[in-house]
Amino acid sequence: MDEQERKPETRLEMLLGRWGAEEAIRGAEPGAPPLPQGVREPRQQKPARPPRPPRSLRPLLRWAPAAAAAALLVAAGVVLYIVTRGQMDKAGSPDAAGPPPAVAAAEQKAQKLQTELAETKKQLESSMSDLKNLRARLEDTSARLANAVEQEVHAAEIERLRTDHQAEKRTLVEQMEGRLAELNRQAEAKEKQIAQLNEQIDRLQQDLTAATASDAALKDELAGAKRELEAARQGQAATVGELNRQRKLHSETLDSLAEARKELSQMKAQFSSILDDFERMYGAAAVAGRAGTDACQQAARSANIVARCATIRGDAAQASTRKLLETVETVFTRLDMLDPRDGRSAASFASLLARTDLRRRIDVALSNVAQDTQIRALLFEAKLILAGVENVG
Amino acid sequence: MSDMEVQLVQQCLGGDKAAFESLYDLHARRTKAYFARSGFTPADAEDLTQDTFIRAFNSLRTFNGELGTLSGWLATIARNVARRHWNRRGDGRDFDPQLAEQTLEVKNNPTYTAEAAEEHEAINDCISRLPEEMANIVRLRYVAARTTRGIAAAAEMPESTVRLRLAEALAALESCLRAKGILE
Repeated sequence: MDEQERKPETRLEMLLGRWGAEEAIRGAEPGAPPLPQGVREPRQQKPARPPRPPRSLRPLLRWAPAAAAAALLVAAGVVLYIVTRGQMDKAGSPDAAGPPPAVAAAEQKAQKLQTELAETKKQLESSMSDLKNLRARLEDTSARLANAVEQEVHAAEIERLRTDHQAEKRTLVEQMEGRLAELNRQAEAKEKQIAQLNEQIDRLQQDLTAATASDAALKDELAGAKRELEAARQGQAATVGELNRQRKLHSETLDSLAEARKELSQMKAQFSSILDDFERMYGAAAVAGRAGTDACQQAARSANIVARCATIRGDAAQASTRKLLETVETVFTRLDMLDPRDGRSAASFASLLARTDLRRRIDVALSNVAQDTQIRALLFEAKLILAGVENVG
Repeated sequence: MSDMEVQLVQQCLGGDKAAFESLYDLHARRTKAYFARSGFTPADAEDLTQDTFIRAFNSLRTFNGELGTLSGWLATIARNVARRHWNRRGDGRDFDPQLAEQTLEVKNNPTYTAEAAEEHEAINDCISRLPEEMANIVRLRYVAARTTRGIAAAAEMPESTVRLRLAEALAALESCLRAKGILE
């Protein structure tokens, strides 16, 4: 079993083919056997071709019995004529003592003829025997000839069948060759068409692939744009909301700011008034009975500004504050050492005060709400004392 | 060739009618089935079977059992007879010559082996389970040796339907025979 027959489909086809053939054979109901008597006498089946004897034996078969019968008749006639003639001669000459010479001659002739007749009979019997043998040979030869003729007929029939078969085979081969050539041409044409179609399919496939890729990219791009647009819309909405909120807040802030400015200006005016009152009250309280630079010196000494500066300077968190405290300490040390009666000393102190811009720096430090309470109090006191100095100046 | 066939041939040559009838009974079914599956009508198939056996017995003296089997010799005569009467068929495209030839190749008796008998019965059983229309198409194809065109003409349905039904039937038969262990 080759590889192809192992395939299930081929095996199935083979099984079904055999099954179908067996079913067809089972289903075929043949009629009665043809001409059974022909089997019993097969030679009678041969059409009108009686066995013929060989050509050389045919004249003998046809003329030998007739020739033998004719010879017998002739011999019998001659004998009868001679005997009858002899008897007539005896009756015509009664006084004759012996047979006349003619009779004797006839008797001799008759005897001779009888002898010949006997020989002829023997020859006839021999011929009849030969004829019998020849007939037997003829029958045997006829039988063999019939067989030979039959075989010849069969051989001719076989030859004719073979010739027909070869002719049909040649015709079929020619037809099949023609058909094969036609199929080959068709197959070539089909192959060309298939090749062209394959090329078209390849091109279309490439176009389709490119279009698919482009379509996918465009889809991705579109999806991204949609997402960005949606995000932008959401951002815009949020921004608008935030903007509205900021606008509202800004408006509220502006209102609060205006309100605060108003309150601040009121507070500043109030504070300024309070500060003036406080300065007057503080100065009067600190240096009761004194006036001018001398009062300021006394106030600084009473407040112990220089020592407190040295003490609390280390608590300052910011370097600018520490530097400011150093400046305060320096200025108040000079104030402490100042001779109120020396004009040049007072001018030098005033110059130092202007050069250091101490009052403005103290104001800036006091505006810092996170400033330490002790530092704030020291700076405030220093500012009040310096205000008195400037007023004196 | 079996000894019985040799004896029968010898008896036929001696003019024995009973021997002749025995040989006829042995081979006539297959010969007639071959003609029927080649596209001849039942009457023509019968006539050609008779013609085949007349020719065979007239030439029986030329048969040489040493050169081949009696079945093969009769098959050759049957093919020649069929070819000489080829034009008596209907449309030859309705019949599959390959399946017709298969008729001459199988044994007369389907039970010549136990395995073949088992396969034959399994196929009969599987076909009996098919719907009648499919079973009819299978019989037209493999018993009557018809082509798709011939089945379409006999069953009066389009060729495309025949192909579809035949494919379905073969798939069902394959599954059934696989379940029975006939197909691997």
